[in-house]
Amino acid sequence: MKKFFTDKSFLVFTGIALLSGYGCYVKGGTEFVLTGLKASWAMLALVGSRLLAAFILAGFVQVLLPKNQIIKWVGAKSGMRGILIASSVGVITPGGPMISFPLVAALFKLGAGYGPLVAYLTSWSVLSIYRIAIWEIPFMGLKFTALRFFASLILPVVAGLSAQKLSRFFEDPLVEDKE
Amino acid sequence: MDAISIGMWLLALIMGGIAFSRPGKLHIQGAKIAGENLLVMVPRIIMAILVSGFFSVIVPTDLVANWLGKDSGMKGILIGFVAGGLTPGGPIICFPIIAIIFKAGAGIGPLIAFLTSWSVFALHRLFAFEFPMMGPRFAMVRLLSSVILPFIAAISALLLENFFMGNNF
Repeated sequence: MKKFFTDKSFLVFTGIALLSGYGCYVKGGTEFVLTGLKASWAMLALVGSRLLAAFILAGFVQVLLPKNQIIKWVGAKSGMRGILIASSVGVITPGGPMISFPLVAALFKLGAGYGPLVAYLTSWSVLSIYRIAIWEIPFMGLKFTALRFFASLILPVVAGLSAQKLSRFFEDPLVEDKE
Repeated sequence: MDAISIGMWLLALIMGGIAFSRPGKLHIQGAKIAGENLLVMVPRIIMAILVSGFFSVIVPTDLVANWLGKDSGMKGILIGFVAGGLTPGGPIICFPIIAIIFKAGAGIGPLIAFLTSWSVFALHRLFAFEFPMMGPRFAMVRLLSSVILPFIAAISALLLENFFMGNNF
């Protein structure tokens, strides 16, 4: 129980919930607050079971896909092939930024190119099946999610290719400064 | 339970089965990770869903339709692009609110511009992870390479919309 009171995100969300509840009250009294609660209940009924399944699914995916394997895949090739491989691996990388950023930082130090790394991060942030399963499908439904997924398939490649080009213009003193 | 829910439970079962068949008691590790995540997330999710319920009452539907509706065109996409880039915070609070704006009548273009922009620019991630771990040069190159992405996604989505939203599947 004590954990809840020290969880900043939870406290912030609780604050926003209270504020928006008060907003309802100001707009239309107790009746509007009740309407809001009913809408929340309807959403919980819709997404509750989906979310539970998604979290369990995500837990298994995470143990089935070890980090070392991802590092091997993303760091293996450069150029267009590297960008395509990195884009595909981004889709299946589980977990939040606490997992993917240390991976990318390690690869960057090992000398991986801008193209694959940017493609990987873009793919992980817009196409990650993990985030799609946990958040997008439960809340937005299958049709919307499928539409967005297919409309975004090309984004990691676009970002990777332009990063590769741009990185040459940024032959910058910042890196040397650091050393 | 609806079809989506059943599909996801089936997938979870299949993955659990695969984990079970591998050596190293992976299924127990996986269940543990899921349990720990749920313990942290459930209270946050309940609050986020409360927020979305209250928002559904106070969100001015006519404003949403006007600025982000189906006929908002390039203006709506631009608003989605800017708002998404400026939205801090993770998916827990973002998706419940976006779902409400979707229901209130926002169009596909603005919504997808918003989600793409929010995913690639992710202010909180930028400051918490990217700057400290990758340095300003990498962050700069990535951000510049990503500016056009929300527009590509939104416009392709509009082109694909009839195919996806028109069919029943």
